[in-house]
Amino acid sequence: MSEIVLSGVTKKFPNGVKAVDGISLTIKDGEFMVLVGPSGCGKTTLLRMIAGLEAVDDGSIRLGDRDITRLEPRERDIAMVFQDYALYPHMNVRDNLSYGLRVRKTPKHKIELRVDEVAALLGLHELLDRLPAALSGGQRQRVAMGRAIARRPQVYLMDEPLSNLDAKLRVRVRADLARLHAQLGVTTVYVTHDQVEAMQLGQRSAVMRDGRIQQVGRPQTLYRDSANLFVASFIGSPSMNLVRAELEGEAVRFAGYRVPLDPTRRPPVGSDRQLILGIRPEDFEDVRFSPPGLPTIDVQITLVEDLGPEALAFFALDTERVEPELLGVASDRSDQEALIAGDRRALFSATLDAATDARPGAGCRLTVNPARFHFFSAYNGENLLAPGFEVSDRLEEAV
Amino acid sequence: MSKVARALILGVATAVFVGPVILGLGHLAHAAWGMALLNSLTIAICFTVLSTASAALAGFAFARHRVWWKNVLFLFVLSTLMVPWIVTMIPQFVIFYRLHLINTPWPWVLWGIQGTPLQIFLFRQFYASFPRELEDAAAIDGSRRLRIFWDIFVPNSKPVIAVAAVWAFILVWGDYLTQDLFFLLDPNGTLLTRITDVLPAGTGQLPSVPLALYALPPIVFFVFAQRYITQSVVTTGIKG
Amino acid sequence: MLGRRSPDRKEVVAFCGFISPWFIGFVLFSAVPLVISLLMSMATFDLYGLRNFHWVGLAHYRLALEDPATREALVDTGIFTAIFVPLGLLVQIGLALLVNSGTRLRTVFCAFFYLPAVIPTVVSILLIWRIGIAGPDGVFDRIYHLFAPKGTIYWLDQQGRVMLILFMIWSTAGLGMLVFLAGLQNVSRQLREAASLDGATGRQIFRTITLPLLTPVIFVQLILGLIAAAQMMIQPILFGSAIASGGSPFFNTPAPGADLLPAHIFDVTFIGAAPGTGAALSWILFLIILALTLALFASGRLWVFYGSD
Repeated sequence: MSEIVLSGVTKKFPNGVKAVDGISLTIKDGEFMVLVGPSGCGKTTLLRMIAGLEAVDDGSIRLGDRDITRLEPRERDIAMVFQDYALYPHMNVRDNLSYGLRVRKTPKHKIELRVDEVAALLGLHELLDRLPAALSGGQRQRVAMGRAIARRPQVYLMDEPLSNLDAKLRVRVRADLARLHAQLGVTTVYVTHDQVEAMQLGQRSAVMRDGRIQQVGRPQTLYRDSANLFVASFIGSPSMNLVRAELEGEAVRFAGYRVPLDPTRRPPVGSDRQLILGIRPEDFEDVRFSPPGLPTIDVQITLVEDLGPEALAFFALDTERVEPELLGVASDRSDQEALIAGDRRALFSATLDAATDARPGAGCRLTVNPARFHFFSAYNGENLLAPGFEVSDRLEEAV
Repeated sequence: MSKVARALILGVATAVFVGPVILGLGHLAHAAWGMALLNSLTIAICFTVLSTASAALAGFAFARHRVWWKNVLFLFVLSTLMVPWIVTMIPQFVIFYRLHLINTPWPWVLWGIQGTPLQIFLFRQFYASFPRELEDAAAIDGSRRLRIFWDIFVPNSKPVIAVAAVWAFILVWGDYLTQDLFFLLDPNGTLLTRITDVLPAGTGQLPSVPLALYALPPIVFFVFAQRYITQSVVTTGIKG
Repeated sequence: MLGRRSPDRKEVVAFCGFISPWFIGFVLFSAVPLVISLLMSMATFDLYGLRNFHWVGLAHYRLALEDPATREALVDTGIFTAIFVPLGLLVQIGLALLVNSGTRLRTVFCAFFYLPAVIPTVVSILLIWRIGIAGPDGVFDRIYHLFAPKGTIYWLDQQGRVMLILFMIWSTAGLGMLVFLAGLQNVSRQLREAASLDGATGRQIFRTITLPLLTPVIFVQLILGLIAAAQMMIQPILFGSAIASGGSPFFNTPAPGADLLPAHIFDVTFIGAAPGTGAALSWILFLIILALTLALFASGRLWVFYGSD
């Protein structure tokens, strides 16, 4: 059993700041869990605490049936792939792969067998006698992974292993990682700041911010039912559009528009009438290309970016932007706002079919999908939809 | 108060306060240790200034100029480390003796012009780490090599200059054997030789005044240079 | 080294200009004296007058090598180097490792260990060591008397070599430690972490990761140490000079085992007034150093790991 249970894990820096603040999380046996969040959110620190490279100030970590909180790294039976690979520069690939086995005094023939296995798995056979300096970035990454795999540990930890690869290679290696996990089935904890990676790789992802977990769940859940404003604007690119709105009976009113609500997805009856409405850019469409029956709004386009398979259209709403503090650092919208100086109106983005004829300066009719609306409290940014509506509990979810 | 009056009063005040000190120092020149101190300071300062400048120039050349045989020449620089001082010291002593340059600061002046291998090495490593764009930008602006060196490289190398200068100063200041030899017949000698002359063998009184005089300049120099050194970390390519 | 512009004449001229101070000095004070020294080693003449010049060919060399005093000096130097260099390196590495682990007091300890290097050699030896440590009632005496209250050891006279070795290690450890500290920093923390996760104990990490990656630094320090040890002139003189003269090299009476070759050469040249022989001896020393350095360089290929940059 290699289930990892974190209970109230905390780490404080000397100046009092909590890098990791009372995190409790269960990573199931064989699961691929991604820790994702902006820089400084504590994900790497948490990973290093699981590895034993950082001390745990409070709380406990269990692996299987052992409490590993105070154990030395080498006693934990965990392997780690570092962001910079950390290959031993003075050893060739074969020695790098076998290092972990050699220091544990594994018999020679067993080492050879294992190295051959790993080399076959990752296509490293021609590279076995080379030094790390003679390898390309992608090759080094494979060796780093091979080193972890060779030891057959209970857990793999990965610290942003793809961030040093170029974009095309990254896509390929991502697919390889998924394939490897399907094949080997080892519990994996993977840290990244790239939410796209998190969505594509993780069976479940934990979105972190300022040392705390904001939401844990499957990618679809994080996307469709984001637990709060931070998660909502962190997950998904371009970021979710946010605007202040007011409930009015069976509809919601914002920026001069009035859109009927989907009865299966609306805030509970006693909720505050003032709230923040979130609509993802993907949930808009040019009326000419969308299925019939959806409510529409008429907007004035300010900018259109042709992305090839689709078009990204921007339009301003006649209302103020939602304050950045509630969003945290998650949104990508602040850059846009800086360019269009002086305009304090809310700026929305919509991904439309490439054949749309939306043009800057022209009007356009867009459909919206109320079944995908998000409703957040205007006071604390939390998702207003109660658990009864199949929205995940903040911290855990039954898979 | 008018400007003239102010200048006058300042002048008088300066004369009152500084004058006696200078007069006193003048007396010191005639005193037993004065000349020795002066000799020591002279050779040390000459050598420090000259060797640092020469090493900076050479280090810059070895680091930045694209001449294919510069590495061969650099090997020569390093090889001078290997030659025992005693090998060249004897001939140099004879030469200087014949040229009547014993008992003068001239040997140190000439040695200073040569620089020291370690200083050259230090400057070379440091200047090699400057980005090429700095030079290119200045070259496009029309500066010649020496100007580039003076305007761009030198101002940015204060910490290294400080380290090299301190190093050279300490080297000369404590170089007993050379001073003893090359100031052979001078009754004044250098501060160091005079001190060791009177240093008692057993426990007894220490010549505290000359020792204090001897200890002071390096400390002053070091404190002064510290400011430049601590402004930035002088590490040559150390990664964490 | 391929630049965008091919090396043109202006570049070469400028280069020569920049190195001219060094070059002139090099020729005048290194190259020329070297040649003169070679010539001197094959002649006899008056030290102070350059008169009475007679060519003697290789006679000086032959005589010097047959002279028992030379043999003694060579042996002394050899033994000293063989002990001092490795021992010194061990101490330096040890100190560096020690200081590297504790974080906050680190700069303080650096300053402590570096202190001896800052004190001028003369003061160090004459004041601190000859009087305070190795002299009568000095530190060594007091420690010794704890074990053998009745015995006396004249440290300087009877244990001259040991004194010299101890002194040199004491005064050079600090600087060497700083060099090794810098080298240790270059062994990135991630590598040690990776090794730790892979299952290596602290000792294993040191043996398989840290040490191999330190070999470039060890190599440099080894060569520098060898060169320094073989050139030590002032220290044996200061330790050996007669008490009354307070350290003047012109009254050098080296303690047994501490008559290092450079000091011996100084003796022969300036006290014995035989500059020809002195020059010959200094060339012998030079050639030995050269041979050893080249041998070390050649061996370096075997055991030094040259990093990617």
